[in-house]
Amino acid sequence: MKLAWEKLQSFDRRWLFLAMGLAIALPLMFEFTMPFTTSPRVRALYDEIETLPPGTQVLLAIDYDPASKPELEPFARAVLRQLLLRRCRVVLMTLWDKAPPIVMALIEDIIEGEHDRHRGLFEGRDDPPLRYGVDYVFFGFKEGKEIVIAGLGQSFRQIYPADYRERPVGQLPIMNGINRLSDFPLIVEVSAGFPGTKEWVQQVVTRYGLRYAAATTSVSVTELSPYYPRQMFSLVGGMRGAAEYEKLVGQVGLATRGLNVLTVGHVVIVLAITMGNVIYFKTRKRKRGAR
Amino acid sequence: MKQTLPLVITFVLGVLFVVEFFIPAHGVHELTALLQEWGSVLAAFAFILGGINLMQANLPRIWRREKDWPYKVVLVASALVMLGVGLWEGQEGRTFLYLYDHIFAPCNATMFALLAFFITSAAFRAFRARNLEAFLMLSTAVLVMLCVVPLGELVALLFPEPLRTTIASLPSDIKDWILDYGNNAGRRAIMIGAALGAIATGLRVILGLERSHLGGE
Repeated sequence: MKLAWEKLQSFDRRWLFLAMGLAIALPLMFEFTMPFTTSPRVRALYDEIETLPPGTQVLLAIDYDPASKPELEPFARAVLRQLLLRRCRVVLMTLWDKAPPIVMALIEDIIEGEHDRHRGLFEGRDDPPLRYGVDYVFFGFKEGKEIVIAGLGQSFRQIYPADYRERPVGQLPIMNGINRLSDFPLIVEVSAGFPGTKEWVQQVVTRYGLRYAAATTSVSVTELSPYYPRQMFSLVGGMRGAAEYEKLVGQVGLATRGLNVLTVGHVVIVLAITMGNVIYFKTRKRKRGAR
Repeated sequence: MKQTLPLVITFVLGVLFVVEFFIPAHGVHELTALLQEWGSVLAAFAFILGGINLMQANLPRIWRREKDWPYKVVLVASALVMLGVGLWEGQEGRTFLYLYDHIFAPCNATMFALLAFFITSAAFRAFRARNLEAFLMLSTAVLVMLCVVPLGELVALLFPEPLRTTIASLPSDIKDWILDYGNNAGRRAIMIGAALGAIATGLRVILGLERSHLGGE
């Protein structure tokens, strides 16, 4: 028995890798629905957007790369859909050099693709088509990190004199009345790290009194939690937050399916911790006894 | 002169940005907006410097066939291919997007996804309740991990309706309580301490007492 515990201590970790691999693969292969509730932190943004009048200009900052895409894109998709369905005008930008192709794909999938084919977004509604420069625009990537954020607070047009396709900002009707960040009634940021939520809060949110909400990776939630609810009125955390948002907008998407993976994965990690500690205490007792 | 001029520039700009924060006059904002635009342009040059540095660090090692030189060939070749295709086609080019979607994005996501396996292994080997502090940290982590996923809601299904709602929201409430009280108290203390430290360092730089950014000691 004693030997068995010692053997378990030097247990081949590839079995753990296999367990985790199965914990990820099986929930994706066999779909099932987990019941879950929505939290006030997430509901705050949904409710805010639902009260915005059509035509409101909303800034959506997409600050993530392919590594964080599975965790953050479901929220980005859900919130973009909600904004467009409310007929809000969406101004997209990014401070991450690896993000422009992600944003372009998002635009193509949700705005151009779905609308043109009359499926999904405006299905069953008699809405006029969304026009680039009028209903949505993408300003692309700008290098400078916090300097760019601080600069946008003072003059959006000076930092971004043209959009992603080099169209001057003066020729974009969507930008009428927008000179600086405080002219946006709502700013939503999807952030995977630096430069991201913390820099937005420190550079511009408090200083200009912006209406600001953020969606971040799960690991960032503990770091950003002190800013909720004063500096940011909504904090959507990781896959769970995105799944809650999908539930609010009434669309089962990648986050809802990902939540199943997350649940089984967390159970595996908790089991690994428990097993590691049981083995540790059993073998420690034995060592003490031997002394 | 070599020392004095950078110190004067640091002092003038440092004071300007501090004062600008408290002066709402339009002219002051215009000046700082212009300086921030310059800053953004300068930051863009870091990409060029980074590229030059990459070549300087790797090409001699490839030339001398040092340890792991084939990996450096892959690094330099990938950088040059992406740069070349990007300059030739632009950021919406077909080949550029193909390379991004089919090579960069999967590699980037794979590296991040491996974390799940490393965390499981680390959880088994290193996360031990060796003393009271470790036990508290471990039990809090386990609690938050279980509360962040909808296990509570799943268990709640076993109970009749008046109890179900309470049980379903209980894990989320526990997690929020830990975040709002335990976590925020510690975080705020660290953040305020770090902010005071940053103010002190900023003042030292502006006043020329701290000169490490000039390349000296």
